[in-house]
Amino acid sequence: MLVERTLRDAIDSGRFIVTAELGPPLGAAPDLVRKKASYFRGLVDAVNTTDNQSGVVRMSSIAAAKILLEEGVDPIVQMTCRDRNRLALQGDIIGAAGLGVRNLLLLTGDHMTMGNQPEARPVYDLDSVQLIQAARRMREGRFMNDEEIKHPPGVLLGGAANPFAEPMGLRLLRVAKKVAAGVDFIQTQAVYDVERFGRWMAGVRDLGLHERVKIIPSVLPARSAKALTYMSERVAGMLVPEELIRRVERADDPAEEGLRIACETIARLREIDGVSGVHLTPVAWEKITPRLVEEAGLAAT
Amino acid sequence: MERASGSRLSRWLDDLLTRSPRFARFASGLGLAIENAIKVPVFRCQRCGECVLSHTAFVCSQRCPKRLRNGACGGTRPGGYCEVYPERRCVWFAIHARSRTLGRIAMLTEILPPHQWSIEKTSAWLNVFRGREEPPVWRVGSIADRLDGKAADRSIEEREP
Repeated sequence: MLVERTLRDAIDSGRFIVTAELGPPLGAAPDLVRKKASYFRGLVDAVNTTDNQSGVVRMSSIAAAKILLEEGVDPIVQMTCRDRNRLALQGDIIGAAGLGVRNLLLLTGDHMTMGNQPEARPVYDLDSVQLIQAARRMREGRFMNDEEIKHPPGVLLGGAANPFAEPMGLRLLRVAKKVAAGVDFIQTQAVYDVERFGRWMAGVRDLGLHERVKIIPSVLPARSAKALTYMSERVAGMLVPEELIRRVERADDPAEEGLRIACETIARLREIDGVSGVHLTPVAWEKITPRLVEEAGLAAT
Repeated sequence: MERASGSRLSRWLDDLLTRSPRFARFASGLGLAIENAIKVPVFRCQRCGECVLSHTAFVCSQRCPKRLRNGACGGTRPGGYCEVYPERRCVWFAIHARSRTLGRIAMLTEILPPHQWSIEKTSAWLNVFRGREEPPVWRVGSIADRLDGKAADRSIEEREP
């Protein structure tokens, strides 16, 4: 199937970017990826495939990305430093590019103690800043040891940022390093506290980072107060304000309320100077994407 | 390994160490013993063989469970506690705080190259002296070279908490 919308087109055209996230299945079930792809196709510019997210083994992000390509969706392959050393990472970067992948999101990765096989050996041969730098050099035609790559991987590079962690100065430093190392876009941790995100964004603007890369905050529509509480307590680096959890709890239809909150958040994010797009992460609720895109007014972009 | 390009003395020492395996064993054993005696109790040194203390306001970044050399990960808990050990403070939190106190924020803006595992558990001082550093391709310099340096230092330092 032809890939009609791509991240590169969205970036080049300057339109408001819409990306989404897909968690690969827990088994060899390509049809589950295909089904989820159908919720995204034509509605978003690109879809992230997560890499053993939260330290839980799933179908590999590159394999899921290949299935997305067959389904006409432009994938953003997530790669973490947790499970692979620099040899494996470099091999996977050219491997993914060889399969037609055009975007990578390069991450340090949640530690395995956050997952369900905590006894695994942590690798962390590189950190995300070094991996970004390595990938940029690979794109320019050099392996990490400076040997030439005859057919360099033509990929866009992304990095992650957590606007809610402390201290703010250290956070901005890290984003600035990723920008200097060579990313094209930054996707952030899910935003619930828009005001706090706005303060981080002011720092990003002071450094002029929003003019060099696309800043894409995440929005995670949640179906229930329980899901929000779980994320706030268990997912690394996530914070959900208490009052939002209570608002969903009190609602007659918590799922509708969750959707409404997501739409409000997107509207407020679009008002912030320097925000170039939005990343939708309907974890275990991919089905809602068409309604979310429609009701948040993202379809017109 | 890239050969030393440093001073005449360091080239002379590197030649000597390369030529005489017995002297090399003695020197690295002695160097490591002195270094461990000081750095392990004082800095909780992890013996990576490629010391970054001078960049990190003398707080060892290799105590981080992810051994990060370029700043804190996204998983830090509220109050600056570690994702892996919730009862411990994030080492990068400490590095940032100490760098502010000591006026060394500008040093944090340099991107540190990947660790050379091939020299782990060897004497970092001897490695520096022998010029066993990363190949120069990794020296992209600091973010200050690529962004507006002064503004970067300022906004990273002042935007607290």
